[in-house]
Amino acid sequence: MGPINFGLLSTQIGAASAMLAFSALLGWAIWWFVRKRRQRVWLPTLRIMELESRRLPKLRVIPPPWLMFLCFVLASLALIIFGLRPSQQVFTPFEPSQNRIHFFLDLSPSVSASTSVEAYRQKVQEVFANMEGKGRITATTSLSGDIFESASRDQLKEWLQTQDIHRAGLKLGVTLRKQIETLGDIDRLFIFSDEDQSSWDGFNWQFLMDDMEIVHVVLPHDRPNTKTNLYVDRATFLSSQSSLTMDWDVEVAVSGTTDGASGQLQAALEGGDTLATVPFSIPGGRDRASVTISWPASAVRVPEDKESPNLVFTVSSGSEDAIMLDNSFRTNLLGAKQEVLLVAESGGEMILEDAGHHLKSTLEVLGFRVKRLDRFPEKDISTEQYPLWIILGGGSSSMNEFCPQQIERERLQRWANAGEGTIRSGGKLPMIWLAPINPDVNFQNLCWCFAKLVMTDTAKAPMPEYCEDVTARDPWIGVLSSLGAKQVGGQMSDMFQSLAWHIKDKSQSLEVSAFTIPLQPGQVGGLSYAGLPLVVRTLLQWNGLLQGDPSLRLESWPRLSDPVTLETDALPQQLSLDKIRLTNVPIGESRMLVALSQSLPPQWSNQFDGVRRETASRKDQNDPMPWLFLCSILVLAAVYVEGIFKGITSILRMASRRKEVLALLLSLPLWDRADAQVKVVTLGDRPFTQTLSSMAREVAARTSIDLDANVQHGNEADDSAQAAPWLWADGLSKITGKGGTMTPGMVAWLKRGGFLIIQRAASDEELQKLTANSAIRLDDNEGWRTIPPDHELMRSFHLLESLPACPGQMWRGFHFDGRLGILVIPHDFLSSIGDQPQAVACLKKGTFERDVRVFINILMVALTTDYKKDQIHLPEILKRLR
Amino acid sequence: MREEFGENHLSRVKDLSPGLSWDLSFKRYKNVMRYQGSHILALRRPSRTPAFSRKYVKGDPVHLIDWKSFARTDQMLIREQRDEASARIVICLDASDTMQWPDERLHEVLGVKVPSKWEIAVRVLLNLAYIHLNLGDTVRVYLWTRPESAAPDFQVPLATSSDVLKLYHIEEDRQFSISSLCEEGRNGDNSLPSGDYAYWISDGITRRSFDWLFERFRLTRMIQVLSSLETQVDWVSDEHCYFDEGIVKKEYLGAILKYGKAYRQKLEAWQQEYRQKFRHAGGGYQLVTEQTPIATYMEDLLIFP
Repeated sequence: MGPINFGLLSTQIGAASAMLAFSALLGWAIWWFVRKRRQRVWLPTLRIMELESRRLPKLRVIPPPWLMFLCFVLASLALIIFGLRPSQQVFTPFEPSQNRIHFFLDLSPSVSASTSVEAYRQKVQEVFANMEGKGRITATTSLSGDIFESASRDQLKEWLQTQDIHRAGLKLGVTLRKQIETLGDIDRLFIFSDEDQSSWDGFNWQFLMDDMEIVHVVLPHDRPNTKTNLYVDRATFLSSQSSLTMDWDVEVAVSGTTDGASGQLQAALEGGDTLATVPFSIPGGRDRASVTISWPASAVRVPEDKESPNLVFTVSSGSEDAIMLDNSFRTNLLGAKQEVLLVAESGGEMILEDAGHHLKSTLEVLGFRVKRLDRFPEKDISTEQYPLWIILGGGSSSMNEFCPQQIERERLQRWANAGEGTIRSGGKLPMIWLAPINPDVNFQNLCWCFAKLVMTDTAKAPMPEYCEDVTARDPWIGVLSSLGAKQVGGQMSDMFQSLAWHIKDKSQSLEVSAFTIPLQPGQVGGLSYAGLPLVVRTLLQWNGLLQGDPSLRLESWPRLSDPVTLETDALPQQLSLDKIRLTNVPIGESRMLVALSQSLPPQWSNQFDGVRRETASRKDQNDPMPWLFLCSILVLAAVYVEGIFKGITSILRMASRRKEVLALLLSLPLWDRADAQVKVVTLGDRPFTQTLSSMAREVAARTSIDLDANVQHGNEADDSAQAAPWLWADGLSKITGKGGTMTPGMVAWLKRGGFLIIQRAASDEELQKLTANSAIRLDDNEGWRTIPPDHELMRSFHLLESLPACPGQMWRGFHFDGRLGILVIPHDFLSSIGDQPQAVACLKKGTFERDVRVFINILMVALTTDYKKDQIHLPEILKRLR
Repeated sequence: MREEFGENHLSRVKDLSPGLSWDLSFKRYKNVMRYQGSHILALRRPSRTPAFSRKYVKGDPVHLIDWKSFARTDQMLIREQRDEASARIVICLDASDTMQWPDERLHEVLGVKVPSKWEIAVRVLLNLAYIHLNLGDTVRVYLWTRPESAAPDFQVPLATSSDVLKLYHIEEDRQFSISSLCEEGRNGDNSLPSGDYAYWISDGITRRSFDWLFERFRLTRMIQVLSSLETQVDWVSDEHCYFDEGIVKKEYLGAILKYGKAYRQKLEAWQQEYRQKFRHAGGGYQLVTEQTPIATYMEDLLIFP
């Protein structure tokens, strides 16, 4: 809901305040009408009357207690009023020294479509001249949040000369929110901007109107009035690594026209030569076209230790173009070839005889440009041009012919400089692969070359002694291992399976990989024709000379839609500052959509008299929270008196129900969760002195039954014993009367549902005599039986295979009333499961787990009989079985 | 009689006492010779007293032939008259809970004490018993306290009119409560005998089937005792809710009861229902409230269907 204005006072009607008002009105109505309680008079004839009761009784208003009601009305009124968040627009007197005027300059690419930088600067100065003397004027631009405060027009002019259109886009909302945090209180904000929808999108300037006056300064249109804008949308690299050309698919787009466009697309290295130029044409009715542009890979040379230059695609057309900044589109240079120096003596003209042929092909397939030499020339070779030197040596040529003296010289020079503490000069030395040219090479020469490359302290030193014994591959491996090289390839436990050995010199500027097998397909080396490129590629990737899939190293060039990200720390690490500055123009700017004028702030006009001596700013009234708090207390007090107090008194007046209420109140503190507690009650001549803590813990953990760890030794005549669901009788002495039959009390208890467990029972005759009581009526299949394997005792909780019993003894049960009434355990089971278990001599020693299971099953039978017979449990039982 | 007491006479049923005895066959009293009882037997006997006459039938006493009439009309006529005998009167009194209304609670609300329906019923009962006993009839009084019962719960022994007067004074002292009358009664063998005439004194609110009554007695009469507060609801106001929680929980405001004479119409329809029920069975019906003039009550009592 919108605001309601009462002169200068305005309120916000929200859903919360509407609900508040409704509930307060309801409260008033209830107070007046529902409080009414009439006296009831008995009229017996109504019993036989069939009167229509649908006629509504006339409502009668009974005045409430006035003081309470007044408090309630006042409190609810105040709640509603303060809930409306009243606020008043306060006009503060204009004071130049205290008023803040801020200029925000939008320098996004879309501005350049209609306004030249010069006209822009003029406009800013014009507004500045109008505002001068009316407050402190500060300025920021969309590119930088640095606050510029101008004291004079000259200072401003000077500052404006340093500002220019940037390539990044602009989101006014994001940028201004960031800048206002640092700007502090502003009374009037001038936004110098065009009507570009991309810039204004998402900027809720109405929210800021509460705190400041916002003025949109429309920029002068001094550029040719065209809506046609040509730009590069994206560029995709098409070529593979081994391609001899670099092919790109560039999407050229045009906005603001349906006539299409044509022109030229140029590809160039940043600050370098033009690589290719192709014409393009966007047909009418379309807004984009794909243009394939390619150039020879050899045209691009990238030195090893220099960052690869950027690739710039530029579109140009003869016709008018609104934004020039988005005509150029930058991207990373992909697919540039690196150079490799391969030194190997020629084996002959036949391909198979040439040891370096396959290696050269492999390198070319992997996208390298290979320079093949038979031997090292006298003249030095540029170490920067070739990042990798591959030397296939040890053949018929002498050591000096295949081993580069230049490396040894430069290495020693660096060592010397490092020793003198001078700054290391020069780039990194190339990576060197030293490999035997064929299996039967002169490993001594190879070893000597290795020593000259990495180990020697002086130039032109003779062959080291350790190389003299290197006559074959195995000593060669041994020497490499002893010189501190690290094994490459093969199993770590078997160094003779190694492919190569890798070492760095002590200045860390030179890396040498000494191979133990020739780098060519062959039976001896174990490399196949298919395996050689894979091995070489893996090694090159490990050396950092070859990156993986080109699509993975495609580093997308940034396209910043908002310059605030320039200042945040959240920038992606790989984005260099150059790339951010040279960001591609965001598509939102290039498309040049115009925002609706209704959605923009009031425009600044030159006719503005500037004499208004006050500025509007909205100021909330004093914090209504204390009043709201007070009102809430009043309302709560009224509710308490009317509701709670009356409720309590009416409860107290319930004299007729006093007992029930008292019982209810007393039961509340004694509230406890419903659980079943069972105690083991024993009967017998000798008391059971143990406790059942372990068993109780197990029972509680497995079932919902709480077993008391203390065992109660009972007397048959006890009420407590008679109240127990089960009794553990030790022998028959306590449960039999004269003649060996069960006492009448026990019979009655059994018939009530008791479950008797007799331990260490005597013979069958005694048991028969025990139950020979006329009060126990037996049906068919009832009476004394041995516990069969499918008895409910075997499956009431755990599934038991057997019951523990001494040889020749059986568990027996007395069945009557459709259930097991008496269980006879031949031995002292209870003692064997106590906390100090007593082993039964004849019984095979069992586990505690078995006893626990048996006990729980007995407990379950005692409490539930055969509950599984009850069909209602069937779904749950089946669920558990599945 | 109406002239004797006058319409505006202060004597109302609320002041009815057994001693205020009027012959139930007052009008015929002047015309017929009666010596005993109020009941005229259906069996007629030939008589010289010319009450009835019929043709001579062989076997009739010859000496009682109206020879004068034979001389005039050439027809032999026999004069007959019916003997009177002690009638067996049973007075049944409904002792339902609703009979105790208006109660103390209503007295507090209205600020006026109105005799309860029970008091009126007892006054009517004793009055009737007194009249019949004086006429030489045998009177038995039974009380019904259970709603759905054909057998009475108590029998109040009343053998002579002095018993009636004695009981009246006792009840008056005890301010006419159900319990006091029940104390006077006995609840031994209370099976209802058959008889000649039965009065059913009740407010009728407890619904009963009267078939058993109609079967046992040749003549029946219902005296419906209502309070004037039930027949006239002008006194009700919207200050209170009027309810009955006996069977159906209903609650009304005074405005509803008074609206469009709905209550009055329903009440009359209900009374009409009883009137028709008893008349169809050959009985009589009359309404008595504490405001009914005794003359009206007596006159209605003499009207037989």
